[in-house]
Amino acid sequence: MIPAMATLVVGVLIGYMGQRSTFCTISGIRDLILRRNSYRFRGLVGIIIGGTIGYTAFKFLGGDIPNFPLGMDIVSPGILVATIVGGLGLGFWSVMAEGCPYRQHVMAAEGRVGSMFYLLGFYAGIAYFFLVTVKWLELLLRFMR
Amino acid sequence: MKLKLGYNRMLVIGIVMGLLAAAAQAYFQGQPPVANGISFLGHPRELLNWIVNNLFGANWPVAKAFIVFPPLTVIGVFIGSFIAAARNKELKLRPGPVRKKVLAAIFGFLVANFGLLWGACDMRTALLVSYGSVLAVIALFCVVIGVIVAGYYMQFAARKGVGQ
Repeated sequence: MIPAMATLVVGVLIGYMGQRSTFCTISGIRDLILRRNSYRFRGLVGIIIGGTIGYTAFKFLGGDIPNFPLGMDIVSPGILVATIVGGLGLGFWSVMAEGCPYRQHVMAAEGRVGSMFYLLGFYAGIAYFFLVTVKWLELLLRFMR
Repeated sequence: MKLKLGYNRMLVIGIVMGLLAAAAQAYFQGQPPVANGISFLGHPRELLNWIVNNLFGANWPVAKAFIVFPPLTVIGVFIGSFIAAARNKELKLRPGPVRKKVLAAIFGFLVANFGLLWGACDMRTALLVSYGSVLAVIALFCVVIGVIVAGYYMQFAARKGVGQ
């Protein structure tokens, strides 16, 4: 119950902040590179700074922060290939959709119809991943071992 | 309530998000996996899998922290954004950002599959970078490359008059 309630509270807070600020990490990178505008990119930098401060401080304060820092966590070539392909696709298609998954959730709550349809596809995509994509990946990883 | 944080508003909001995510893990049992305090692929996935498992008796993977109750980040974001939009008179049905609905759904489908292939959304990738993960640094670099390629493709398409 505690993790569920914590995620609900965190969700409400970041939902409110995201709606007021148009926070989006993907748009931040895009704006910085294509428009030389660093306004939204600072959000991405902020998350990394906040996370680093938070994980470090909470670890020293006795919080549950195991295996920090993670360091070299590349366990197999297959995982590395999946990371590269997944990262490239995530970045490319998020720009085509004009926003990261977080921003799309915020825009859907504001009443943006395109984002609502994006989320339909997004959740269908998650289901498809577990029904189909995972099986292909298992086959591929078996060949790459 | 209005957020007036000046020029560095986005940076401050990012730092607050990072701290919230770290606190959710450190003190509210939001793990395993690590650096999972905020995730817009992981948490929607856990929520969907939890619903499917409970409704249809399936056995889709759910993180240990969310076996009994699912993560409610998505619900929280809907509530928070809805309240913020309503309070500021920005709540109304309107088209976009992608105007073709089928295309928007296809993009969502592709983002989910590529994101799950790597295993995290862009926000959790940033959190994993701050957690010291080398794999996340590689993933973030690849996301940046993907964004650059898509950005230039969209500029090229706009110049050629190709519709979205």
